[in-house]
Amino acid sequence: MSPAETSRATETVPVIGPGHSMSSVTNKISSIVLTQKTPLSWYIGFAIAFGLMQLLLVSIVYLLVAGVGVWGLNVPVAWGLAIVNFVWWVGIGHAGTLISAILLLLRQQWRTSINRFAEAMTLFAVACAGLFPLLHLGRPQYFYWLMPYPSTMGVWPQFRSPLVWDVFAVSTYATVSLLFWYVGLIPDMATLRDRSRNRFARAIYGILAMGWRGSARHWRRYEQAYLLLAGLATPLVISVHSVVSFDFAVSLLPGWHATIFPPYFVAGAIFSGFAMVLTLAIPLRAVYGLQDFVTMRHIENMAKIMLVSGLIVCYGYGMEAFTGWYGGHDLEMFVMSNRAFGPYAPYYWALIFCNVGVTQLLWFKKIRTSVPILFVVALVANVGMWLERFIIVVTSLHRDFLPSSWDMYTPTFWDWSLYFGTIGLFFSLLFLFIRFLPMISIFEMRELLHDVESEGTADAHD
Amino acid sequence: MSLPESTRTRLNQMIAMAVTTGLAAGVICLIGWIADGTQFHRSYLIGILFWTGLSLGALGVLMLHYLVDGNWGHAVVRYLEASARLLPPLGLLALPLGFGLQEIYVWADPVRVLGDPLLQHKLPYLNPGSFVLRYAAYFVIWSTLAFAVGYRRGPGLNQVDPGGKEGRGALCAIGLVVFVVTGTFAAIDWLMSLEPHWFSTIYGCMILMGMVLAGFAFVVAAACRMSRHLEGIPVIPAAALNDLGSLLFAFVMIWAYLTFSQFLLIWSANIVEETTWYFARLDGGWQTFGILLAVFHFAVPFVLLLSRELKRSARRLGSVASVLVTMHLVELIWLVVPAFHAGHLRIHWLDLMAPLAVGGLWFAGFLWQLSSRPPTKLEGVPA
Repeated sequence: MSPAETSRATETVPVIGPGHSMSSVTNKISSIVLTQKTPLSWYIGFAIAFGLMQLLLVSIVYLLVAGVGVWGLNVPVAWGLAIVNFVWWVGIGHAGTLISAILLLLRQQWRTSINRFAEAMTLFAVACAGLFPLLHLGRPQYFYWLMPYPSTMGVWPQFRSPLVWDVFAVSTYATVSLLFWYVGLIPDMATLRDRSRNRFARAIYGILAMGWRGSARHWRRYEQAYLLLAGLATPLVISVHSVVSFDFAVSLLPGWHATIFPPYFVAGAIFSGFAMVLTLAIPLRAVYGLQDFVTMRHIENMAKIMLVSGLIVCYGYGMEAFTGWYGGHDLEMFVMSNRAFGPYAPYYWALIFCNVGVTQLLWFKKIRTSVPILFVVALVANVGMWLERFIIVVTSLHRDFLPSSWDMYTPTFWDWSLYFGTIGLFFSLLFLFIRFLPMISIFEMRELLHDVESEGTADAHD
Repeated sequence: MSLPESTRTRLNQMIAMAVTTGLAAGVICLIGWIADGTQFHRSYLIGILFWTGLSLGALGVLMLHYLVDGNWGHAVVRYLEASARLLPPLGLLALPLGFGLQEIYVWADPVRVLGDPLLQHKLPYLNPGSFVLRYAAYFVIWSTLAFAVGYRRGPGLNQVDPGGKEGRGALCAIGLVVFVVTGTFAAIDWLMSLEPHWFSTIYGCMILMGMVLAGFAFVVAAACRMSRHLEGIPVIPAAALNDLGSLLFAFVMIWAYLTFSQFLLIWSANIVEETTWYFARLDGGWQTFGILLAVFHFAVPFVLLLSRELKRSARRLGSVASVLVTMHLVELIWLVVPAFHAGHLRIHWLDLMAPLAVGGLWFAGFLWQLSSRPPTKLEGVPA
């Protein structure tokens, strides 16, 4: 190695820690599920999440009994926290698919150790998101009316409405994400089946492994299927949040009707998704000692993606503000000034602080490689993106064209309880996932190890 | 490394030819200026914007390449640089537009502004003084970036240098932010303000994406052609071609995504402040242009670039890229001319002569840059 190369090698943090072999990788990951004693922190975390989930159940039951009037909705603000939370959760889901599909097609090796739990996160986030529009229907038992089916009533959904596109977009997204995640799990299920000593566990993992024996033909078909699913999932990353943005942008409402909305929403989704992946990955790698697999390189790369998508979001804010003035439209200008100086101004400035201000810290390598600071930045971004949706939904609605119908929107206890309840659901599912399934893809890590070694750039073994 | 004599001669011939074409077309344009000043300025705007778009797009892709250090860029980095380095002369070539601002832009006419409250509202932004200032600032910034990003070189001129990477990465990251912001406002200044009442928040990034796509397509087309026909210019390996094709594919999709988003949202909201822009462009014959764009700026390249085989053939990839460059001109005419002839298809011969005049000189500069800093086989790049 020339001196230049050596210095380069030491600068680049490897995608897998030093000293690992095929069996050590398998042992390390599968033991979390099979043999290791479940850490106390898991029990505590799960208990809290499960408790919050009970709050969700109570909120849903009360909502169904009493009706959506228990929320803080009123006539100008007919879309309240339900839509805010829907968009927030769908957005969070985006990182999983981006990591698993787009980064796979871009041949980014570093995706390997974070794709599995990012995909799981996607599924759970979409599950939480899906609850809100269903509950907001008022009569959720008729949810199937959203589907176009020939019935004796002759009632069809309005195909020009993006709310109907949403039904298709989100359900396709959930289906493809689930398939992608499950297909990715099959070889690992077989590993768990072969390694588990418990008969019951062996049977369950055996059924889930669908008869996987790891023959060359299995692998060949598997690779084909995986690549195909990646290709299918890729446009969904863009389409889902574009359709969500259409929910707002096809309307005539100032502050909602802006042509920048689709790319700006997609970027926001990726931003919040990566913030959530970091929020989860940082404590997980610490608790389970996975620093060798989720290395600083992963952490820093995710921070970089956050920075890029965050900057696109800032661009969106900038263009909205500029065009608000440039367009010279009274109401557009009013909405912009009402956001910045109206009754919800503190929320607006908090959002600007979180998404425009704090994000800029990610320009610095020191911040990107400092785990505790990054954790805080990611949390702030999660809050910021929630506030963004709150501002978009509420400030445009609460003071619309007719000043006589202006009103304020204040979420009630039941708005909040449903929101925190879904956070409970999300984390409950996540804790169960960590406990019962391999949170890092075992076979892909073995493959990565092989690639890294055979490329001769095995920084891992220097 | 220098080029073989035969290639050098060939390049010099091509440069001479390009200069001759450019000057001849330039003289014809001058006659056009004397005959019809208004038309000349409107057409010259197309000429300048088309080639500025190619150079600006190349600058964006160049910075992207340096920032992410992707393998795809090594094969075309010289071409990108050659294109981006033409931004300073383009800034000078654009000067004649200054004499005809009133003929191009309604807002530059004080009489029109007086009778129009909306234009008065926009006066702080849309006025000749600040327009010229911003125009100067854009070109100074872009020219600086074009030369600054290529400045740091490693040990050998044509090596992939590990040494100069760190500083350049940061420069390119900041450069890209500046690029997007200045490019957006340039698009608003030069194109959107042709219809000063109309506005669209996505417009800046939509136009900029079109430029990036065209700038990259031009470079891919040039690289494919030159590497096949000129001795001493390295052949681009199939894997690299494949990557270039995939990136082109991604750009085509992003362009279509942004363009369609604007269309869908304006169509669906259907309010008169916005729809005028499309009525001007989808009526009276202009709809042919719209269909051409949908088919050849998106659908056909999209389908073709899905094919791995096509992407690995320099000849075929080059052809697709050439179609995309041509379609960029079609798009630009469609963006500019209906602002003056709304819903009435009317293309003046100067609309084609002006791009030819600027293009002859631009292309000569491009070839001259390439012959003085020729693309060579890069060391340390996997084939």
